[in-house]
Amino acid sequence: MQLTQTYIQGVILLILLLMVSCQSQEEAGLIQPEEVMLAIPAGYPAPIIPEENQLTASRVALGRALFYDNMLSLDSTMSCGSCHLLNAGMADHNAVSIGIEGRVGFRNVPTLTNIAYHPYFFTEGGSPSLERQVLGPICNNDEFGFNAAELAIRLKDNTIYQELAEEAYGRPMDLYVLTRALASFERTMISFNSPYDLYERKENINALSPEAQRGRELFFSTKTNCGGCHPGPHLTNFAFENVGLEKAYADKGRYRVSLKEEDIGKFKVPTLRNVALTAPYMHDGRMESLEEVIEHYDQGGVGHPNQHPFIKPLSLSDSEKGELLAFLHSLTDSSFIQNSDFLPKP
Amino acid sequence: MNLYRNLFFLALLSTALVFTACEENKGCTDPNSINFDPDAEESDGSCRLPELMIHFHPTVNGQDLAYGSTYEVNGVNIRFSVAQFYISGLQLSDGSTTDEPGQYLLVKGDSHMYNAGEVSKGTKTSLAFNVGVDSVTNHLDPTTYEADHPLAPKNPPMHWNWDAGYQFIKLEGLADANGDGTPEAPFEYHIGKDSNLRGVSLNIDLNVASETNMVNVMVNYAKFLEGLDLTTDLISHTGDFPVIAKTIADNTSSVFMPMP
Repeated sequence: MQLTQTYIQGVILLILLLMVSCQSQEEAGLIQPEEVMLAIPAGYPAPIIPEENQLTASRVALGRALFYDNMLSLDSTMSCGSCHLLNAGMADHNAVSIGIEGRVGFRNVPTLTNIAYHPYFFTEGGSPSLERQVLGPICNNDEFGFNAAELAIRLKDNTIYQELAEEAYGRPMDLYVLTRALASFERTMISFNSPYDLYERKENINALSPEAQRGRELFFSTKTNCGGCHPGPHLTNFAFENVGLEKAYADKGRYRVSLKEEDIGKFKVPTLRNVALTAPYMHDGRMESLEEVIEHYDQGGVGHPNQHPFIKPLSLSDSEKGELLAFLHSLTDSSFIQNSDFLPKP
Repeated sequence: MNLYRNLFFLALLSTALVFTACEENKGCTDPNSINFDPDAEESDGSCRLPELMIHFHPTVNGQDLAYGSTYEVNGVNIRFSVAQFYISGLQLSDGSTTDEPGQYLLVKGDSHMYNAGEVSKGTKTSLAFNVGVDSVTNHLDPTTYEADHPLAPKNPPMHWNWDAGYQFIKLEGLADANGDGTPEAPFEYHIGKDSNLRGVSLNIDLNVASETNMVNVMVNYAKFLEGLDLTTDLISHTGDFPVIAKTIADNTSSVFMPMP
């Protein structure tokens, strides 16, 4: 009986110890994962973050590692960071995306600036969340050219990711963890410190030059109606619109998802944050410069049946075009593109 | 320490008592189960319901389907390299009551036997199902399933990420578009979207009485393609060529035939 007695004593002691140690850890906040606070200035809305994927430091760190890992592409030559370059406003300078083996896609790479606020993803809006978006480029034949089930096997064999996944999500590294972690990292890409923001917040009324201030007036006026589809603070209303680029669209845009005739040629209205960094422009990168874009809107589009009524000849003077251009340049947030948290971990 | 020792023995004793007390009247109390015990008074969780197996026989106009073999469909020689589809909303009925086992099946042209899940005993007269994935599940996240689940990401893929939803029907291969007799032009039909979900109902005669019960269903893949010109209508990813997609979806009901 001596043995049993000692054993019971031991077990009870252990349970007591465990209870005590858990309690003290909880009190000290040690077992709470470190929450990540997004750098959102007062007065701006907070993005909606899924309940199941709240931001923590370990999740963002895992996403950051994955974002710059070439193993996500079939031949391990490309990462998310290959097309989302910080100095290009988290977009790139190709007309359309270039994938593995130089494969040519058919859409311009979108910026990830403030991507946490977007209600749906891809330019026809077919993906409902940042998490769901992740497998798109990975599985697209002209981007990473990979297969999700095969990638899951590759990730499973990676001992470093296994450890990080357990730490961040308390489960083995799999496609669930991959998609959640990448979304977490991308949600940290917040940009609200452009000269336009400083001016709007009245932190620095000289942040905009007089020319850019006149451009701002013009942009949000009913004369141009630019702000009709690009309202602040996101400089997009996230709607799908046809801006009269073609009479017959080869890429039918939103129609590919909705199969409705009235959606032919409609594309998600892009944010204009950091827009001066993300040339070329339009869904297929057909316009090389902001001057060319302003010229298009001044002309008023080619007259597609689905064209938005705001797109009509504006008869802008050269100085007005210059003012709009100056305003668009004031949307560049230099603190965003200098933030090394968005670059690979050194 | 005497207190602990006494407590320990008390615990052992009461556990033993609990086990002994329940042993006599426990068993399977569900009369639909194959191990139903009429004497049992309390369920012990051991009930096993009969399972429905569906044997899909993949064919092309009466010939067995083999990937890479050549078949004449709509007057054109074609070869399949992928031929698969989802089944959901299974219903097995005896005319008055209906079982809904709730399974999702990914039926492949090179695999025959599928476990459709648990059903009740009795003489079943109809088997109904949808080809595709119901509109709620169709838009859920595939990465939330275990890797071996039919709705988890697959190779070849059965899910679109850019237009979140499953490919209900996936048919790929080569067609003889130039008329020289040898298939050379790739065909690729990825049919999905909620509007293309189609129901199938088959009259069967199946007595469900034992542990496993099998229904034989012939799948004629040629019927999916009825009405298509296989020298020109070779591609549809649904969103790009929705008319071809709807044609294939509308053909669904004639694809399946019950077999004895």
